[in-house]
Amino acid sequence: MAVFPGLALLTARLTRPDIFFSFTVEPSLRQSAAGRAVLRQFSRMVIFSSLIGLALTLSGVFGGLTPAPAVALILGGAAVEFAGMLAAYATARRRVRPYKAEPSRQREVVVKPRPTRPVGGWLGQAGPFLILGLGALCLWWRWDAIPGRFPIHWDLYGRPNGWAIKSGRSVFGSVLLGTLICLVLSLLLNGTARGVRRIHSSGLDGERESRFLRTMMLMVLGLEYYMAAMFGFCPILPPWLVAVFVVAGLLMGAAIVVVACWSGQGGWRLRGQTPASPGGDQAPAGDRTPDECWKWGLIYYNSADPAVWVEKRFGIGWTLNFGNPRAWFITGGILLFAAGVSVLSILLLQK
Amino acid sequence: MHPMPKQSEMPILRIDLGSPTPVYRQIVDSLRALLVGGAFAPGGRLPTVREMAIDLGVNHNTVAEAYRLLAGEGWLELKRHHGATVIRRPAQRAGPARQEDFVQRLRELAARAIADGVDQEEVAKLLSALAENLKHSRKETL
Repeated sequence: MAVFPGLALLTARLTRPDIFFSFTVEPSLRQSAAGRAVLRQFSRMVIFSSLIGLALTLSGVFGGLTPAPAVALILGGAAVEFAGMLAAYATARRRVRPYKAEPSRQREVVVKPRPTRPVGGWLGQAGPFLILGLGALCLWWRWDAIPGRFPIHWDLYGRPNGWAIKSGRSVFGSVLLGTLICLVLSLLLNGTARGVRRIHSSGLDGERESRFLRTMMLMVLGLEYYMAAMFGFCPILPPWLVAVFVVAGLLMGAAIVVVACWSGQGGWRLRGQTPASPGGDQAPAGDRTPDECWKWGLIYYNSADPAVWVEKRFGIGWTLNFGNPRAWFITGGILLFAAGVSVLSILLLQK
Repeated sequence: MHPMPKQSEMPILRIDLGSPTPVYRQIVDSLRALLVGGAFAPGGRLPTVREMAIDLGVNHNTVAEAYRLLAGEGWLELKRHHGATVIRRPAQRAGPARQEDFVQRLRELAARAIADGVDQEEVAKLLSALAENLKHSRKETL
């Protein structure tokens, strides 16, 4: 309940200086009196709705009610919080709209083919799959050491809350699951790295963007390694190691938030080595996407834009251009994958 | 990950979508300037049509047309799914009419710059610097 409002408050401050609540604006707006007033109102609305949501949720949890009203209060609390964040966002956008600016019509690009080498190199990409292979080998070699019933899901405290009965399917099923997850992550990682549009190619902004892209890609690659180790060895993990994995997972999540805050969207908050480009009477760069193609500032639809991945306007990272048919293939693939993982998990999970 | 090359090593192409000059023409002119300036050695590869179109935010056909024009001028070799490769262009010799046309265009460009507020001496300095750069550019691309 605290995470999403916190992320919403951070996100509003981490977007590029010339993108404010998903509109292209003058970079000076955010620091101006009007911009600060918009941020203040947004923050107040998010915090207020979150507190009400939290109160409802806590009433449901600790109110000693029967299950039905308790669940209703818990869900109601979450709904109030979510609705409050949406209302805060919509209100902020309404206030920023009059300050919309026409983005620069200038474009620049480095005339160099994109690297064909995958992110992290071939060895770096193969690493998670080698770990999974090693895990499968260890499971086969230590088959007798695997208990008749072993944990395959843990809560945030590292306590097992999902079990599987020992069989070839369940033991090696986790390795298969891990392989599928790492494969999809790898495809997304490399597809994004090769398909994102660079907004700045030269100067300080270009350098920052390169570092941001590199950092984000390496973090996703790190996540692949984590998943590979977890899924590759989970039937034989001793409890203390499970606790280590849980802590590592939480630290990774915290690290992602820290890196996002430190870099900002597109790396605009990073310090650079190259001198800044001289300022002047230049229009805000924008993010090379027209304001009118962003639905509610969150969903990008532009069939005239060849890019599949574009920078998010509210958030860190990239989103799909749903005007491009390839985006629908990718979305369909992700949904199919999610369904497949869910089915596989249910087949493995037996209490 | 690939180390970030120095800014001076990176050939940058710039276009203005708000300019009355068609985008494909701007791409052709910018790429030609880079090619003449020796930014690419023969055998060097340019981004694919798709990559360039994505980064510029323009239609694939616009970039494809620009590449086709440069291939027609003898600068590039185009292969499907392999992008464009810079080739060794046979030496060209412009006739007197062509040279006169070029001088006229240069005169018009300088006049426009001065009319737009660029200092006359600055224009002369820029043209001299450009001429010096061209003298030192790689001969094999001419």
